[in-house]
Amino acid sequence: MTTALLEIQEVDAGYGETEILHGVSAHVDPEEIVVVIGPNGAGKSTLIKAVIGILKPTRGEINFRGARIRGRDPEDLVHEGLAYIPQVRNIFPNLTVRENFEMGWISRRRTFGATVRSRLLPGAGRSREGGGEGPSAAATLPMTEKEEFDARVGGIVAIFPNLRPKLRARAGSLSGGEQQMVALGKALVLDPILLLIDEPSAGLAPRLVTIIFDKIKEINERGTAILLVEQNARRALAMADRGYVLEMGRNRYEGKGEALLRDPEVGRLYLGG
Amino acid sequence: MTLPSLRVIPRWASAILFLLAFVAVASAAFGTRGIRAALEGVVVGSVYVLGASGLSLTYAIKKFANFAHGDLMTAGAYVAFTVNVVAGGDILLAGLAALLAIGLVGIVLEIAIFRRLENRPAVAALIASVGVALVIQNVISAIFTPDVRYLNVTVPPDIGGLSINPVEILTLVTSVAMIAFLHLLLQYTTLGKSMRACADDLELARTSGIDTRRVTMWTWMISGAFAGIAGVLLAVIVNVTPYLGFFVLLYIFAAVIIGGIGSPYGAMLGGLIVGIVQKVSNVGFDALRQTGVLEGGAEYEPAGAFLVMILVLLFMPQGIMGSARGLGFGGLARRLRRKGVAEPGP
Repeated sequence: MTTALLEIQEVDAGYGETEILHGVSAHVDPEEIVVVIGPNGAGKSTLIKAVIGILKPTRGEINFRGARIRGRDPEDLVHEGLAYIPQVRNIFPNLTVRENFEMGWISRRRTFGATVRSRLLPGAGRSREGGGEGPSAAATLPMTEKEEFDARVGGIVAIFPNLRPKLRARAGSLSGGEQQMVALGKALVLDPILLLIDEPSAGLAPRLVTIIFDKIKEINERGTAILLVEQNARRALAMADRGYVLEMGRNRYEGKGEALLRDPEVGRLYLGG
Repeated sequence: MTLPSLRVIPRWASAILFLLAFVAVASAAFGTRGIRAALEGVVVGSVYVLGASGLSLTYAIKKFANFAHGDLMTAGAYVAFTVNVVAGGDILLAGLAALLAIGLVGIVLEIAIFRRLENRPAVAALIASVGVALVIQNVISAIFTPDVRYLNVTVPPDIGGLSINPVEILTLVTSVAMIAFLHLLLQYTTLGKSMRACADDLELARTSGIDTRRVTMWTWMISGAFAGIAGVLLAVIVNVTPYLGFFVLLYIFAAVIIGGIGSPYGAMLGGLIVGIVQKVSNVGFDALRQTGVLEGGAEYEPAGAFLVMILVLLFMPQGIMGSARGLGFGGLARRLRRKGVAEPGP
């Protein structure tokens, strides 16, 4: 068995006095898409907030790439290759689209120094060794910071071509779907190893949900592992490698995405029959 | 012109048009006195602009109105007084000293007081800032006595028939330079963009990897530096007393509210509006006094400015630039509205 990229072990967490998660465990392997589903109030969002460090778990362990990250601050964890996209308020509305990407890019100095992992750069495919080790050919070229950032932005608009003409627009002026793309792009600037996404389909029209899910799949195929929390359980499980069902802050079911989809009990309880 | 076609004009542009129309009416009614008052208003307004944009910066990130901002201005005036009068230094050196000293005071306030109140409701920080205001006033009174002092500035003779003074021009130039600096900082530097990002959403800024503490410190420093310079300019055109900034704070709040809370660009516009309306309406009150309609004197000075504030609040409660269309940080109203929408469940 390979070591998990992210390992959540029996975590208790909540808001103030209210405990939401009771001993929840889960893991994400390199380059996997893992989906967490469950009814409202099951603790899905709480779980990823505990991972990124917005909430400090009161019990349990969280390890990322073998290192203990429980209780660390989000601004630090971003430098370790974690990225988080909240469900709402996930862009800076008064900044332009490009500036939003720049805000994602800001923390690079403390992290990656001169060597840059570059799955986002044109021509980079899914690297099987995972984790982003081993600089690719493009990363060995000397680049100025600005060239490097421009290349990243180029990589992002290659994934989201709609955003190319809107780089200078105020992000808050874009449509809901486009804003969701900005949020994804902003998280991708630093080329994260693991992307935590909270309900990307919330409030989007079905056609846009399809587009966003396709993009998430595409990001995953470029080698980024994804932990996705979703209400839209059926579609999320369909693209997931594995899934977890949470209920009342406890693990209820887990398994391969398709297996959960076909499980009659999961179907009856959580997928609407 | 039909109403829909009016909507294409941005609100800040229509605000400037209204202001120009106001000045035109005033100069038609009062002749050169009106124009002279408008120019005085621009000068005083430019000081409000510095004070108000500094106040907006900390508001945008800390989400509370710093009641000590006026007293930071006072402190700046006294730093300048110390350098300029007590130590006999040049006024420019005095201004520089005030800028640096009050910038540092801003950082100290954040570390010593406001950072510790981060996880409490904003009202705790607001009350604490009132406390800071009182402490600064009284420490200054204790050291310098409450006497009225003056900076040692040689005032050259007025220029031209409108009696424009070179000191006033220097005040204006300083303000414009500071505002240009702030604009360049906010739009083109990583720090400035981070400040705007933190103002938009502090938690998102953190999870984006922005060192929000560092950005907050810089914000306090810049806000303090602006207050310090504003205080020196005020001291140059008025005088130096321990309550200098506290009395001006009301105008600065008016400017911030008119412009849209938390938007430095709105604060710039608001400061100008408050200054001009204050000085020009003064001429109007003076005329009413002479005809015997009004009694008394300078007490009426704030009335015009606050009337404008009331009107703005009635018709655009979020202020001129406080809407989604604003250039700046976006307003309180929108933030509240967004809070009302679908707060995510746990």
